[in-house]
Amino acid sequence: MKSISVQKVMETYRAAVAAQATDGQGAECLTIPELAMYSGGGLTDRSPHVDACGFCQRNLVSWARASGRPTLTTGRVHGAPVDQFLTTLWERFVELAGRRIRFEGEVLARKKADRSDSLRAVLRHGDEPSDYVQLVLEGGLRLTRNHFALKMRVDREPPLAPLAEGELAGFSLSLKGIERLVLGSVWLDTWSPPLLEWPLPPALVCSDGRERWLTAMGTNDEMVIPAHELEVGCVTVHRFRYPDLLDTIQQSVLGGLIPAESVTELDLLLSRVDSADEELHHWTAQWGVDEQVLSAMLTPIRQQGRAALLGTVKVVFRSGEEEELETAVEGGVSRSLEALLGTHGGQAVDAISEHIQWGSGDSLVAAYVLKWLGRVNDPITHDRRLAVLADCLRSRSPRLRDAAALGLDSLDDPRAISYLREAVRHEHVAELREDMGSVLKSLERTRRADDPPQN
Amino acid sequence: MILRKIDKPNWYLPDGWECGDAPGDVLRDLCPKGGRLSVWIVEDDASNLGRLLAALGSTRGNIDHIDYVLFSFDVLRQTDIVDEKADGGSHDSGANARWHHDLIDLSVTRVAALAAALAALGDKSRVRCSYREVAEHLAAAVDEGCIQLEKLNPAVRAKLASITGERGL
Repeated sequence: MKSISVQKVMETYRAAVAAQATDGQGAECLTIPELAMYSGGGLTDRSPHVDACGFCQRNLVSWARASGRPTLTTGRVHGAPVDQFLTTLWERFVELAGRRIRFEGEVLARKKADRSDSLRAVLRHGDEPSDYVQLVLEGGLRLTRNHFALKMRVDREPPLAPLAEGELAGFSLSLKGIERLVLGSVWLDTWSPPLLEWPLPPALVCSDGRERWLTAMGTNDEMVIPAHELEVGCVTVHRFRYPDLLDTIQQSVLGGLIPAESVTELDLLLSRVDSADEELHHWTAQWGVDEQVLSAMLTPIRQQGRAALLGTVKVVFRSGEEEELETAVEGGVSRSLEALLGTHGGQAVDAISEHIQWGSGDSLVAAYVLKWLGRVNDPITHDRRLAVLADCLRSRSPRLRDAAALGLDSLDDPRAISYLREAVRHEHVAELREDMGSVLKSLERTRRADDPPQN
Repeated sequence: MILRKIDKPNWYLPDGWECGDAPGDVLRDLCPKGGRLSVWIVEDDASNLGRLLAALGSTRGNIDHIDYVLFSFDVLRQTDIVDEKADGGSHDSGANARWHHDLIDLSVTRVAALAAALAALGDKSRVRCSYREVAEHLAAAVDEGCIQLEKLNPAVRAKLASITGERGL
């Protein structure tokens, strides 16, 4: 692991260009790994006389031209529809955000920046307080702002070995307001040869207005491009190959579970899920892109977010198996559940429901959680919790049916009456039927009390 | 009569089981500590039942339902179990002193016998006090000075205020 100087970068660059030239691909042909190395905001920031970003962007365009890489004209990418291109683009971003970024560190700070779609996380990554990784997710992947960028900074040398040894490159997509140039969002303070060992599949696309765009990029001016001149500039990076780390990381991040305070890939994924619908409508409205296609684009993101959340729920349930659970005693499980609910709202309720309905795990914990769902004070998820509890009245487990009825009792919502009536009708455990009946009567009394007096 | 707090679903008989048998889960409710099992004595006219339920609810972090089983001293005789007066751990010191007992010297055989005997009593011996009823008993116990409000968990106090307020108690 070593630092790389600007001079070294330039030398390597020239050598690489020369090498590419001998490959018959043209003097300006570059590979993305090289670009990732040459460019980068870090270098630019540190050496103002090297206009790495604009420089590399131009070379990218030239290279794309020379090597016949796809260019985007409005609506088409080499015959492929725009939505197909965007799907690919999105998937690659999922790869980037979902797989490349792994943290084992302790969260030092997390804040939602003023811009609602930004997330900044500073994660400690090592024993020394100064060893940290700063991850800035700007634009929050919300295409509504036509811009998203992922910026990663390694401020110290390892222990961030995984990031340094795998490909580390920047990713920035700018569709309109160019805030950071392609590749300009990423800077590397450390660099290691293995960076170059993984080829990063390039994708460079720009519209017919590219000259204007490039000029703007070169000067870092913001420009507005009409929708019919949709322009996309993109450099993707290849997947990060550290599958073996996943379990360890999940254990270390989720094991000491305080979800609300953890910034993990889970949060990043979920933030995308949160904004997915908004994006969908925006794209549909702005560009008239088929909603089904866009929905399909978002599916992998939703799935990843859901899977990650389900993983968290599973951990919570497992922790409950080792806890002496009593409904009326607040313990680690209920605190974790509250944190989950606070962080992920209705999605957490859905994940809990899904976990319970799989029938996985301890039914005692599941019963505890159902009762907790009825008791927790969270108006935003009230309707979802009602639905989950009503659904669980039909559970195969009498313990869960009982817990669902108790949850509905605590929820104290007369809308549960019809579900309870049905449940009482079908309940074959006499004792349980009687208890459900008591809940039913209680809710009916509540409804009568709430009804306005008849004159 | 003797009251023991339980969790009713532990006692549900799985389909096809003989009435009078008991699922092993009932042992969760009868698990002794140091060979002792906490129980409460209910007066013959059940006049102290509400106060006992309030006492049971007083140490919790939330107002929640209470499941319990009621059985006679005959069951103790049948199962060769002895009880002795012991101070209870609730926030009702009067109830602790007057009505709390421990079943003592509990062996595996005696616990199993107790479980079987209680199961044989059938589901009518098992009772659920809803969280609303618990709240009412708690409110009454506080009003009567049996339980000091400040000893209750803040969440219980808040819930108590909301429930009793709604009902004009």
